[in-house]
This record gives sequence, C-alpha cells and structure tokens, in this order.
Amino acid sequence: MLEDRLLVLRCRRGSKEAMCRIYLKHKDYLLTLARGLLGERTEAEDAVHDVFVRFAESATTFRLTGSLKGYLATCTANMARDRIRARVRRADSPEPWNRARGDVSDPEAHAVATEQRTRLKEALTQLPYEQREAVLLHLKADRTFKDIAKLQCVSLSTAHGRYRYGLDRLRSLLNGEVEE
Amino acid sequence: MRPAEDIEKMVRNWNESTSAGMDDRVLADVGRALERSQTHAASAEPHRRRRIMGSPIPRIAAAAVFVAALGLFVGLMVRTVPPAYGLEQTVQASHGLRCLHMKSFAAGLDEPKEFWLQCDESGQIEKARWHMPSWDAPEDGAKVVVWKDSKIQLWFKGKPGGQGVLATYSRQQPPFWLLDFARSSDPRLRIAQLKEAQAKGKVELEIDEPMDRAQPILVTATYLPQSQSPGRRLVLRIDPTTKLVASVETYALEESQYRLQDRQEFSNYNVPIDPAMFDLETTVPATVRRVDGDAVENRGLPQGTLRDDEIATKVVRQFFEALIAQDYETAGQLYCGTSAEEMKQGFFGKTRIIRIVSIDKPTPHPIPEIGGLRVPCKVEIEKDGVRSMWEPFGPFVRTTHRQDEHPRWEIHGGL
Repeated sequence: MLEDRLLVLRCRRGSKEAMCRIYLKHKDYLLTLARGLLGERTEAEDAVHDVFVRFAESATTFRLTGSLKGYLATCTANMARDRIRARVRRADSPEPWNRARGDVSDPEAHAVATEQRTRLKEALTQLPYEQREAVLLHLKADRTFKDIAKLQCVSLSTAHGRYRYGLDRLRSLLNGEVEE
Repeated sequence: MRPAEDIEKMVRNWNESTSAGMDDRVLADVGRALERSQTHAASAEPHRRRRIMGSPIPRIAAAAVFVAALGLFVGLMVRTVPPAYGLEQTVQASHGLRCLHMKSFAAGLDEPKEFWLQCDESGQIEKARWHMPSWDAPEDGAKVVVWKDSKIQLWFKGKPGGQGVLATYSRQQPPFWLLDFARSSDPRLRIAQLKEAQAKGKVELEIDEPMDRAQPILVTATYLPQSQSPGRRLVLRIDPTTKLVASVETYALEESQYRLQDRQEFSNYNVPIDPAMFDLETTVPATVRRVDGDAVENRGLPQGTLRDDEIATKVVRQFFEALIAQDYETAGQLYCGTSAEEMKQGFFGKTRIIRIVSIDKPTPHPIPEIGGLRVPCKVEIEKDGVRSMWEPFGPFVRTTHRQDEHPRWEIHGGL
C-alpha cells in the first residue's frame, strides 16, 4: 500500500521506472480480470493496455485515495464494460464467449490446456455479465461488495446476490461437467 | 458436489500472464503517455489563464489589482533603496566551500534524504555520505551510502529487526547516480545553472530582498515554456549575511497552481564533518552481514569471446537448467549472487521449473537507461500442483557491477 503510494508519487514526477514497476506489479491480475470479463485474450490485453495508458496520461494529476490495486481493477472493469457495450453496438461481433469453447485460435489454451482452467473459463462464459463481474471483482481484485455495488449502481444486497448466484451457477456448471 | 469454497479457490488461483510482446507494447505506450502527461501539465497554465481572462469580471479585477500593486511599488521605491543583492554575490561566497550538509524533504513525506559532502581544495568530491529513506527506493529499503578512498559502501538496513547488509565495492570514481545527485544538490551549481538559463532566456528570475535585513533574500526562478522543464519553479532562500543558499524549494505547475515537490535545506557550510560519518566499517553494527562486492568471480558467467546476445542467452539457459535440477546454488550465482537459501525462500522455492519451452532472440532492455538485454523465454512451471506456462517479463541480463577487461554477465531482474 505504502509502496504503491510512493510509486504513484514518483510517477507524478514523471518517473518511467516507477510506472514500469506499477505495471509489472499489477499487470497479471488485471489481465486475468480482463480476460475473465471479456473472454478473448487479445481484447483483454488491449483493455489492460488502455487502462495503463490512461493511467499514465493522468499521472501528473492523479490522487490515490484508496488502494492502487482496487483503483486499477475498477478501471479495468469499466474498460471491459465499455468494450462489451461497443460490441453490442457493432452487433457484427458474436459473443466471444461462445467461441471460447474449443477455441483453436488460442494457442496458449491448447498448449497449456490445464483442464481445470479451461473448464473454469468455459463455465465463466455461461454467467450473465453482471454475475461474472461480481465474482471476478470480488475474488480476483479483492473488491468489497460495497465497491461492487457502487460500480454496478445497485444495492449492496443485489451485488452480494449477484456474487452468490454467480458462484452457485459456476458450481453447478463445473459439477455438471464432472458428472458428464 | 464441489463446495463453494473450492470454486472460490479455483477462481482465485486462476492466473493469466502477460506476454513479452504485450509488455513491450504497453511499456512503450505508457512511457510516451507519461511524457505527454508531463508536457500537458506544464502547458496547462496559459490556457487556463486565457480562459479566465476571457471573462470581463476577472479582467477588471486584475486591472484593479495591477493599479494597486503599481501604487504600492512606486511608494516603496520612493522610501527604500534599490535591492543590492545579485546572484554573483552567492557565487562569490560559495568559492572555497569544502564541506556541506543537505537535507532533502519530499512533499508529503516526513523523513528527509540527507547528504554530506567533503571536497578537496580543487573542489573535487573527496568524501560523501548519503542517507536514503525507504521511500526513495522501496525495492532497496532504507540505506546509507558512503564513498571515499576509491571505495563505495552501501549499507542496506533491511526490514526492521532484519540483519541488513553492508556491501563494499571498489570504485575509482563515485558512481554516476551519486554524482548526479551531488550535482543536482550542489547549491553552487544551482546558481551557475540558473544564471546560464537566464542568459539563454529560458528562466525568469525574480529577486526579493526584504526591507528587514534579517530575513532571507528570495530568488524565484520560473522555467519558461521554451526551457527543458516548463512549469517548474525554484524558490531559493539566500542567507542575507553570508549570501549562501539556505534552502531551495522546487514547485511544479499542477492544475494551474504551483505545488511544492521538494525542499532542500543546506547547512553547516565549511563546518568540518566528523570522520566517523565516512567510516561505515566501524560504525555499522557487527551483526550486519558484510559482503565483498568485488568478490564476483563466481557471479554470473564470463563473456569470453561470445557476443552480448550469445552470453545473455547462455546465462538464461543455464539459470533455468540449474533450477530444473533444483541446484539453487548455481541458479543464485547467475541471479545477482543470491544465496541458495534466499532462492529457496523466494519464488523459485515455491515454483518448480519443469522444462524450458523456448528461448528467443535477446532484445534491448525496454528502459534504455538501465541497459543490458532482455531474453524472452517460455518455461513450464508447477505451482501448488498445477502446471502452466510462464513467460517472464524479462529475464534482464547485463554485466555484473564490476567492469573490467573480463566482463561477467548475470540476470538482474525481470523474473
């Protein structure tokens, strides 16, 4: 926490090294979060790229009031939402989650092919976006339900409900696969 | 049935890693964005001023203030003598300075950096000591650095309750980063640089010599848009008696306001410095681990006749091969001379390297100032019983600190 504040302070003075350290520290979980929300690896990479570029653009005026991890996670979630909306507007892009099953264009998934991870990704595809967001923000970005409720503009109980429903749905999907 | 906790654990443990290509792209674009951000902040002031002055009410108010200020100024001119101070007086007073103590306070942080400097008769640095709080480099923690007699000693204090390390290296000259810090802190150079910048029309200087001769003289230097640091402002307080610089405050223009960035206080001009201040060997507690920084014979690999890219690739390959064989001693020697124990306690003790999948052609380090090469690679790892592919951001490979006719290369980060 203190380290992040110091790094932010150095970024405000234009330190590229500090910005590099922030990126190295947070990049992987943000990519996981973006991948979970968006599905496609390349789109998730673009989202994380945009989050960091915007963060750097505002570095001189940025004031850190909470945790940097939380702030970046919220930015990533907002960026993912914008991209989902843009997808809907374009209407020419099929839901990538539907393509995620057996996605041969994802060499990493094939190379790594950890069965558990693949099943998890596929199960996440089946969740409604708000539930997916609640699950990932809470578990991957350590956001509280209060934060999630604020981000989703819903009540605390709704945010909690979305998380529980999302988790239950994930469990039944994963169990279903085992039973098959 | 899988319990909910299992699902939560599964999601928490799911991790994606960025690729080297993505890291390159993001870091390059982020660097440019950061530069734009700095430039934009500096140029924001005039735009805002134009917008504000576009309205008639601020214009009338500004005119009234100007008239009042003019009247006040004329009144003062009648009653006082013209300011007698000039920067030349500080230049003159600084001649022959041999000792100096400086404290540097960063905005919002309590603990200052401290710097003691002792020069010889020709003005060359003879001895220097720096106190660096942990905020200056969180990765190192708090440290004390002393340079004297062609040796540099770094005392890494470590975490509270920890052992700490005192490392000693041979250096004919102070390292460039220490020289940079010394130069940027030297009030004599500050004055000389300001005079030069003023002559080139890059800095606007304003001198305020108070009526009360006991009060410090204020020199305000505002960097103009054509300078290399637009939006920067320095305020120097000059001792009215000695004409030496007592403090320098640095401001940066943010949201149309100058905000304090740091403050340097200078004291004890030419007051002899206790020799013990430059003797870490006897003043650092005996419990602190001593490390001979020159003893790097076993660190890294000798370059021999190999090209830089060849030796960098060889270092990375041997590093991962050692980890596959769980030979932490060899791996640690290739990784900044890290001890086998430290290797086991860190990431590589918890993560098993299964195999090297690929090692690609080395590329320059993304931050040119750091130097060395990045060796993109992909390895299969096993952590918590789960196997996955890992593409580290680095590894970054460069020569060890000892630079002589037989350079050695080691991994210094990016893992």
